[in-house]
Amino acid sequence: MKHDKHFEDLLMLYFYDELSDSERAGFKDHIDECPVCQAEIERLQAIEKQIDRVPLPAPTPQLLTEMNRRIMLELTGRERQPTMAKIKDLIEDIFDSVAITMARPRYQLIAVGLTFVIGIFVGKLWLSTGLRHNPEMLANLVNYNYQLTPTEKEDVQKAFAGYLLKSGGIEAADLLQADQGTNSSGLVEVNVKVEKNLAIKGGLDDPTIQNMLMYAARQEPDKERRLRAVRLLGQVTPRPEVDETLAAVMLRDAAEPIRLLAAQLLDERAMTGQRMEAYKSVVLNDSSATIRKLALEKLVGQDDPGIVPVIALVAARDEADEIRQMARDALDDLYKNNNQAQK
Amino acid sequence: MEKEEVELIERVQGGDKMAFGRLMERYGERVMSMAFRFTRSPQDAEDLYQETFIKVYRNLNNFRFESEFFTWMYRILANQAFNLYNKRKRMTLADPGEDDYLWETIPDEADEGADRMTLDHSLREQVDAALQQLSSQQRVVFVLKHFEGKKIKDIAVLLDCAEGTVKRYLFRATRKLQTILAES
Repeated sequence: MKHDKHFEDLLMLYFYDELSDSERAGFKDHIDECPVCQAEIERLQAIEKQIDRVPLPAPTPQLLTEMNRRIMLELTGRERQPTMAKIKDLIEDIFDSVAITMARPRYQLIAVGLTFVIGIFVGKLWLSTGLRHNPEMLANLVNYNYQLTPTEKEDVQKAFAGYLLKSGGIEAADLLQADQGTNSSGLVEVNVKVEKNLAIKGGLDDPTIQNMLMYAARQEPDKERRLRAVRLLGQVTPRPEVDETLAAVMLRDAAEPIRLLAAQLLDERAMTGQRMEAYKSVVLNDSSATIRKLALEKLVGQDDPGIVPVIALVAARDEADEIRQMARDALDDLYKNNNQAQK
Repeated sequence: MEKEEVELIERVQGGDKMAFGRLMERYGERVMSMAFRFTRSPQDAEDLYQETFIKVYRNLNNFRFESEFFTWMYRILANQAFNLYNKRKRMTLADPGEDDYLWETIPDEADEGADRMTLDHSLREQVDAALQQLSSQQRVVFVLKHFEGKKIKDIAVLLDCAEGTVKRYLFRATRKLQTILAES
């Protein structure tokens, strides 16, 4: 069998009698035919003899007595130490123990692993916190990467916006922050433009921005932010998804001012079948008289036979006198119009 | 375990410091000899001796009489030696025969002639110097294997590390000693 580097470790194990009987027998056959291993074994045996020849010094009784005396002094002395000195010793001992433990390869690997995990967590936290409170950071991430083309930058910006969207609420806060900073790039720039009603409404026409606003209007836990999202949606060029969002907010938002705003914004939009159903539900169920009145005003004058039973119910059941009267007047008008039509 | 030994340990566990002094007298020589084997330096051996017994004293309440007392103490000694880091950064090697009268050299039984003593003294210097160039981990593993005859798996248990780690330390120590002693 030719000599191989692999045999170097086997040779050590053979020399230190760490091989099993069968391994030992097999390796012995190799040694008998391998001059390299034979020479190495002889070198190891020579070292062994050299080391074993060395007599070791022995401690004298005087040394041991002296050492023991010092130890006893140390042990009793520690008891008489002031508290602060004991605490200091304890802290030093703890540090020493940690240092000793961490010096072991196994714990060093664990420490490296933990550092990596904690680092990722802290980095992620820092990144999302930074992005949450400092949109310029987001912008800088993109803007200072000189290798991106403008189209690529835009795509990265949208990708980041998508990421923030999934995180929930963060992007809405950036867009809807009450205090307007003087930053000149990234999302903050868009926000400043929108809040100040600057000419460039292109920001609000961005579908990604609109998606963020629609998400925030429906999902944002903070009432003020939901209100601002709805207000901004009112400035968006009307499109079906936005109108649906406003209708959903009008139907389901927990806060009356937000439902009212959504209803007022929808008032300016063209009526659809779906919106009609929403108004019917609102006029019968909303807790706010103001909103119910607005919905009723919207329904009255619509050419839809289906509204008659709804108005009738409102005339019979609504809590507010004014609204019941409005409904009765609307029914009277419908009746008159119907009679005239028949004539 | 001898009855006297058990009584001594129980007394120390009960707070009797003087009983601990008796324990140190009982085992001191063995511990100091081992400490020197692990460190190859009288000053380091004395430090290791002191650290070991202080640690033994502090942890004696954890001794449950499930093994021999010296076996338990030996484990502490080996681990202290394995993790030894020299706070005072003392690197010089003192010759116990000349500089430290508190250590005595055991003469070779075969030949006590002056020439032989000089040769052994010189050889010991070389070997001690070579062993001192190993890391404390390599040295302790080498001593446990070469001088104490322990198996690699037992060394791993004693030092609370993997067998592969022990092998690594042992092989590196052996190769390093080969190189150093061949050069000298």
